[in-house]
Amino acid sequence: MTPHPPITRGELAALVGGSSPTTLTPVGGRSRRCTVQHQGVTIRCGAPGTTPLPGEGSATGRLEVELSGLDRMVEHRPEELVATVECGISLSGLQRALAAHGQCWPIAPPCSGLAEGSPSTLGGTLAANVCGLERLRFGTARDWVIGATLLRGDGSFARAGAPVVKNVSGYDLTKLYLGAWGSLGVLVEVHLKLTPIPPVRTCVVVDRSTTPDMDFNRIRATAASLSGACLVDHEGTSRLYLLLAGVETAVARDLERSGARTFDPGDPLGSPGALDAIRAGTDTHLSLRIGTDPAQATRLRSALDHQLGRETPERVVSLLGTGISWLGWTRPVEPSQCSGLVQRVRSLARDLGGFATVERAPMEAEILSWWGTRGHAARLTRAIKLALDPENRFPPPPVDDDGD
Amino acid sequence: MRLAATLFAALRDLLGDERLVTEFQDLITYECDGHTLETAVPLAVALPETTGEVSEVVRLCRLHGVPFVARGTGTGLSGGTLSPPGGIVIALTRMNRILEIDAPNRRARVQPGVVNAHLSVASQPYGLLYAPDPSSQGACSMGGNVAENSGGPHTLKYGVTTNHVLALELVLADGNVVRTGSGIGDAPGYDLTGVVVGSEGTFGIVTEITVKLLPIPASVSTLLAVYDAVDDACAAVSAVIAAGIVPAALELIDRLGIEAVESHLKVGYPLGADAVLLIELEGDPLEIEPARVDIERICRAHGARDVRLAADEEQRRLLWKGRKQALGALGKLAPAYYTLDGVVPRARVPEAIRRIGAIGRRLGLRIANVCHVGDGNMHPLILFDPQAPGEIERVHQAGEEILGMCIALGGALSGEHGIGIEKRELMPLLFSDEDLDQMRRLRRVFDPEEQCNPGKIFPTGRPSEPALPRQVRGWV
Repeated sequence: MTPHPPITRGELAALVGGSSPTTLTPVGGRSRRCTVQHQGVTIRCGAPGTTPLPGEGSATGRLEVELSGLDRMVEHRPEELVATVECGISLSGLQRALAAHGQCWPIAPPCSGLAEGSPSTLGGTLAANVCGLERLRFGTARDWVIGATLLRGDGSFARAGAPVVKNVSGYDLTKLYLGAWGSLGVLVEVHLKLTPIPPVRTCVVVDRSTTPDMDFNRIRATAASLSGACLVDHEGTSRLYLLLAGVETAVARDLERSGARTFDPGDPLGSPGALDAIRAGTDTHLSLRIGTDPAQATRLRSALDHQLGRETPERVVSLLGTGISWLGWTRPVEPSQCSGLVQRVRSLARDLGGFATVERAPMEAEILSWWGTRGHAARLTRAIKLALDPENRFPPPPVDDDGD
Repeated sequence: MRLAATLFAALRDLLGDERLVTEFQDLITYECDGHTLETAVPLAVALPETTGEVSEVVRLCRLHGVPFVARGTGTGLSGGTLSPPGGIVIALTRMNRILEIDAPNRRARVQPGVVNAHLSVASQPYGLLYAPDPSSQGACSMGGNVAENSGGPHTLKYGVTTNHVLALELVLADGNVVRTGSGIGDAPGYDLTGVVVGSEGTFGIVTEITVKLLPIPASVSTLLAVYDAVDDACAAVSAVIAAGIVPAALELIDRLGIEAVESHLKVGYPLGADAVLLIELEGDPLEIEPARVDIERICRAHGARDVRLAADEEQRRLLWKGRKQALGALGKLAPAYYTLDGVVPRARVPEAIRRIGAIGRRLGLRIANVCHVGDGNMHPLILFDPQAPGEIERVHQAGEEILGMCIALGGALSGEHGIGIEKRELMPLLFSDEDLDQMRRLRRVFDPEEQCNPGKIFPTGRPSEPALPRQVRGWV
């Protein structure tokens, strides 16, 4: 793979809107990096030199063009709590620039580790709609992106939203682009809503949490500084991690009330960064993000044991209070078994009021629907794709007739 | 007429006489919403009570080629529920049940006709509330809030409606029913819920809404800062945000607004002041007490002649009464008023207010400013007499100039009222052909034949027809 120098916005538009229609194939859409191909050229948000993840093998032999050249902080208005940035910017670069003004974009703040030295870019993060460990307090990217410029398949740019925090002028197309895996166009620039960095933020652990749901509810009821709670079942142990953020007195009070403790030196999960790496599951062969009713985290674990038996994932990470969990199979999973496993997990998730979507799978696995979208919603998804990318220049949305 | 008669007969079979309005004197009620400068009397009004009935009404409309618009309680301020020509109104006021309050999962399921404030009242025993609080929350309905992506004073901290909607049930223009999102709010795939919210009823009719509920804050602190210059008040707002403090609400009322409130409501706003800021902090006492001290210091450093803390809930209620009923009070100063809704970057608010004053003076119109200054959401309110020759035309001109100014300052056409019929011709000021093309393509996915609330949002190239307002109402 030959790296191509970073390209300009105009070059990118000419490339995508070129006169010979060619399908832009997803390469990294299954990962945090968003990658498409066009006429033998790969466009990717990710930084150079990053290791291809499972599902990216088809990039081999293609000329690679990075969006990481489109990485300008176009404008940061601290007094507005708003920034306009190009999507090739790395999360770490973004957070560093904002931190200089005491602000952050809270979906992957420095505390989460997702940004620490990570090659992840803003564009890839938005295309995959990755959320941070503090989702309990801050929600998801949809709450913190207030406008976007999208490169369309014909090489033109379409804007939505504006750099103001309140705006209902026309359709909120920005939301449609987040989590679309690059299937509707290339996110080139976004307007971000920001928040002040709290004076203190810390990650602590609750030992011997045998009833994590109850512990969490107790802590949430009294710990106003709680910004995230992460239950990690990993390598045979189960631990409840808390993220606290606020003024020093509030964090100290909540640390005491929660019964949590700071990490031991040498604890392999002794930092939010390590915690987030476990959550991201880059070492897994198969990874699913699963949504269940928020009050069902404990029941999810027993249901997995009951319904999957020996195929139960070795790792389950739940963001308590949000309903979001990640299931990770660190042992090799036969590609032929993946589809069946996904279907069973999806069925289980629906019984618990939610959904399951595939985030990582072996390249050879035949998975019909990564998203699991069904019925009229799946039909609308396909119709939107056809309307906004009529020449199919961008990757297809991973929707199939799963249960349709 | 034969078409209408056939459709009416089918609708009557479905709904009965009592839930189909066809008499002109009854239809007048539905000729406009809170935007009274344009009116249109619908052919009929259908009053369904279930999703199935909504679906069937929509199917019948499609079969007969009749356009339709959904309507809640009619408190909208951009003409979003104005009946399309030859169309019918589908009023959802009878779909007004709170279907579920799911306290363990902190969410609720409601029908679209539920009044906003009723949801928070019903959630209160569980220690929960629904955060978006439009000033009309005692009257406006949840379906309308979804259609317009409504805001309110406390959206500075908590966000607008879209930040609180998890899932929707939507009747499409062909009568099919689709469910979008999930009760968890992080469903994979295209965020259909996200684009339906704020689509002003042009994608279909929302018949069920799942929303997040938040815990009632442990403590609240409300301040009134008094200024002799609007610029100083606005500078204080920027300084508060720059200091890393995000209050729950940050509101500004100018001199004319203060005078109106005090002459009709007597809530204790200081007469003679050029502006007051109403600032509210909510949350952990350990967090908000130091923030309150900082805010008071910042306000005084920026020229506040007085900063008052509401000593108890009654004082807080009075301060908010002045803000939430300010428009009603202003309405008593003139035969009619027109409420605008634009957004500018918050640092540009002082300039915006100066320019609004200049526009008013040039056109001979009195304009008050009541705004969600914390997020730059301006609500200039133009007082006028519809009987005075040429006054309505000057009101329209002032409105267009003010909104054009908002865009020129880097803002947007609407912060919370939507585009509707009121601002559709101004959309090209904000959006390019490509931007609008992208929106039109999406609209046709949901409603290929454009029967679902046509004539809204998108520019037609034709000026709207001003009407004489029959009544005056409105909230911001």
